[in-house]
Amino acid sequence: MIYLDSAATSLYKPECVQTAMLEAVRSMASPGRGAHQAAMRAADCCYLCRERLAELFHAPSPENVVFTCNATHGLNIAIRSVARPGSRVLISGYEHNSVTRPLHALGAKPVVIDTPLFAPDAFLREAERKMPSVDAVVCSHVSNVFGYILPVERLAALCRRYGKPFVLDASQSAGVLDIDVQALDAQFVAMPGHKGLLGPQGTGVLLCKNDAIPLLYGGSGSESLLPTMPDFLPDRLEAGTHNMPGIAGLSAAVQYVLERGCASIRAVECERMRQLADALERCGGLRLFRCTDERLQSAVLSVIPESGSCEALADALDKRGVAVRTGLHCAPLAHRTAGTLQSGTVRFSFSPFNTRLQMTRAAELCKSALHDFR
Amino acid sequence: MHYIILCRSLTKAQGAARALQSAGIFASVTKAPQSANPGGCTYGVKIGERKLAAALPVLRETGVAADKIFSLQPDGSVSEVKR
Repeated sequence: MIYLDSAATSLYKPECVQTAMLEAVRSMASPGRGAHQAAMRAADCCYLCRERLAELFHAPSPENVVFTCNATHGLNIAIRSVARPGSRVLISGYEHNSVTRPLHALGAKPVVIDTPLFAPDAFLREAERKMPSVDAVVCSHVSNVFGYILPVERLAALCRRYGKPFVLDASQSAGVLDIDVQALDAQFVAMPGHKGLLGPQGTGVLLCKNDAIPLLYGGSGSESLLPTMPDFLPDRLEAGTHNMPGIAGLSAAVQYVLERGCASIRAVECERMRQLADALERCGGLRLFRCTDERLQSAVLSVIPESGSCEALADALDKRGVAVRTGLHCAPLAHRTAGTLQSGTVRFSFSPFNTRLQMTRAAELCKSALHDFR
Repeated sequence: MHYIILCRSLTKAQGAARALQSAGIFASVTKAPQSANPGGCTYGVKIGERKLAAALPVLRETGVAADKIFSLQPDGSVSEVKR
């Protein structure tokens, strides 16, 4: 199989991830639940993972690193911490349901920056126009459908200027783009462990600037006599037993990312995308959502076949051993903004472990699949 | 005898232990005796009896208040150190 669905989940992972997970299953209990060796091994593993994440994202300390189940979990905490029912929350037109649904559930009012793809200046002008009337800002770093890299550094600067809390959804950028949480001065940065960070499913991270409202209440291994959750991080947001195999795997994966470097990972992924996109353009029969300025697009490429449906193309590719994703990618707002809501798209997304040979073969198989529709 | 410096959380205790070790002071994370903490379970860092004076400035730099320090006797009894 040629796996080109890394924007959903990284399938190819560094070898060290599974080794670390197996070791955790064999030897670790739960952190904060005792002081015996198995509990302290787990505590040490958690702390090391927090340290590595703090280093990668320039967090002030390991205490600002909170483990979650996934990015959605973190975004739910973040959104409930910065917004109330009736709050007006500024979002990009490229948000995932992991942002829009929590806002809807809360009764907050999304104010959408409805600007075209790969147009950061228009985005910022519209953001500044709407900024004074909102209570908070939540924005994806990278669109999971189109790979559009939003100008979040400049958006964060606007948030600072207008005194608005800023939440960054780094689901598609963590492990690939440099993120400096202190430079952004973001209230929260949420991310999954299983995409660009190359860790296991069921892991996520929420970087917290300071206070937050818990989503879950329960045992934390600290301040046990209180009826409320502790008022300090990370315990405040980490009720219940930790996913130790997941955290151990994530820790190993983050170390791998630190050693290889985000820029190096991104360069390989973008080179693979470029190779495949060039080949697909040569085949014809596809509309590609590709930006000429490579600074504005990560390694996520959406296409729409000129004949036949996206689902039929994805199915034909699957039969030929190429794994891609089709549909709305849980981001109907992004499709509405880009005008692709009717068809959805076929999405190719890349990993630092994809090879040039795989791209050559994937292009041939795509050409063959398209031939079926003609 | 040892000293246990109470920390607000396990993570804080781990950070404190890491900072002390970096400063050449052997320190380990330990669960604090229940009697030492009116709030319930917590953790602290354990250091040797002659290391307290050297440890305190390191902990201040790490952001650990070190406002509750206990002496731990070989028989396991603890008593708060008044400063």
